[in-house]
Amino acid sequence: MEYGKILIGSISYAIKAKRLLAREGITANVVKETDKTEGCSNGLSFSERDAYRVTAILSQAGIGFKMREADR
Amino acid sequence: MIYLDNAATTFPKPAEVKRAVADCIEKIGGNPGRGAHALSLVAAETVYDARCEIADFLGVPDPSSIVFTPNATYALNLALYTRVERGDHILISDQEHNAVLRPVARLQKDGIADYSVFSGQGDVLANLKKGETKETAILICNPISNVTGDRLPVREIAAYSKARGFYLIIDGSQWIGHGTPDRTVTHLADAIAVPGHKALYGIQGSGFLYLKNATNCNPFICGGSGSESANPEMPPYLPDRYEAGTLSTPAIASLAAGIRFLRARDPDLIAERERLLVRYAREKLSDIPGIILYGNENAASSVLSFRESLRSPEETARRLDKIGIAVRAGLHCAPLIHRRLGTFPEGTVRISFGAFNTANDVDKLVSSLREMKQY
Repeated sequence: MEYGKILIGSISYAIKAKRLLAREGITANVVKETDKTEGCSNGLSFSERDAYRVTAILSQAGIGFKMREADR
Repeated sequence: MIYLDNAATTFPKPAEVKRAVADCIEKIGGNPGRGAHALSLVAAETVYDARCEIADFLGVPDPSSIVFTPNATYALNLALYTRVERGDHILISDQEHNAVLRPVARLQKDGIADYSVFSGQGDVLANLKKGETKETAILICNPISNVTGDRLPVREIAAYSKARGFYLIIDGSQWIGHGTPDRTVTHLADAIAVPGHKALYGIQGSGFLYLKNATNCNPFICGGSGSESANPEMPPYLPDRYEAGTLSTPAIASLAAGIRFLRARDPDLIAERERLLVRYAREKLSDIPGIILYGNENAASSVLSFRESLRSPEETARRLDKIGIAVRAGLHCAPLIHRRLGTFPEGTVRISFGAFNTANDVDKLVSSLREMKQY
């Protein structure tokens, strides 16, 4: 299964985003990743097929994020 | 022991608060926001849940605007130091605690800002306006005195502050938790500092600062935040920008449990009971010859100050402690109001009620004071 990942930064916003997505029926898990410029970052992992909806929902909610490439 | 010192810290703590702390220590052992393992994530969710609980209690929209601190003193310093600029003038009331007076006095001593004090007696808004200058930028206000229980007209102060463009910092130490927070004030305030261990029934070491909008302010303390670690500066977003170092998950869990305890029992009902106890105590104490009472007799709060005319407050408190009644004596870290009351420097004896006090506690206090008069 392919997974999409986004970096959010703050653990508070990562949890907020996770719960927001859950209300929309999207399962996402909080992960810790390394951002090339900023170092440690909290983010979300989710099914790649949900990627479009994830970005749309979070953008609409005003939660900033950066995309990561899909993992297999 | 009959505990009448709830304005210092509430005791006992509700069973659900004790359970929340124990559960946290036994089961939620990770560092919130620092790792990605299960224990760290559960701790992070516990902290986030507490932010949501607090934001909802205050009636503010964003849980990320809740910055956790070890106590209200830290929160007040954080609110002030992230905002003050060189040349600012700060207005404070004469009800303020040293948690406000000392940092503003320090800013004045260091030549960064100066301050004026307005009286909380009489026409308070007029007093406030008299102290205003062209450089007034920050207004700090303690809605309920920790010495007398007297209330400032905080809605009017908040509205005036908003109209004048002041940065309004509220010291919520004796206010938040005593009844449902006034939404008019919580929406107008720029910052509200709150201890978790007083009327919110959390444990000592818990507290928070509500910051309406402060992402561009200087951090008060710098250190690890669990995010953007490659950046030598603190992150630009709330709450991370103002939360350096490991948070105390047990303390934060206790704070959330304390709020749930209040909400399950109706904070307005608890506050009304406390007010009735103060009224009852005032009535009974006024019947004892030689007892001097302080503050507005119509003040609607949980705090009452008095003195025995022939004994120092410390001596009264010491004698009461010997028979198992806990009160506080002295200046209560609030010297300004004692100067106004004429009780400086000895101060007063303060009794303060909480959710677990009863009229029997007042009866015992009164009978003890009557007996003490004979010796």
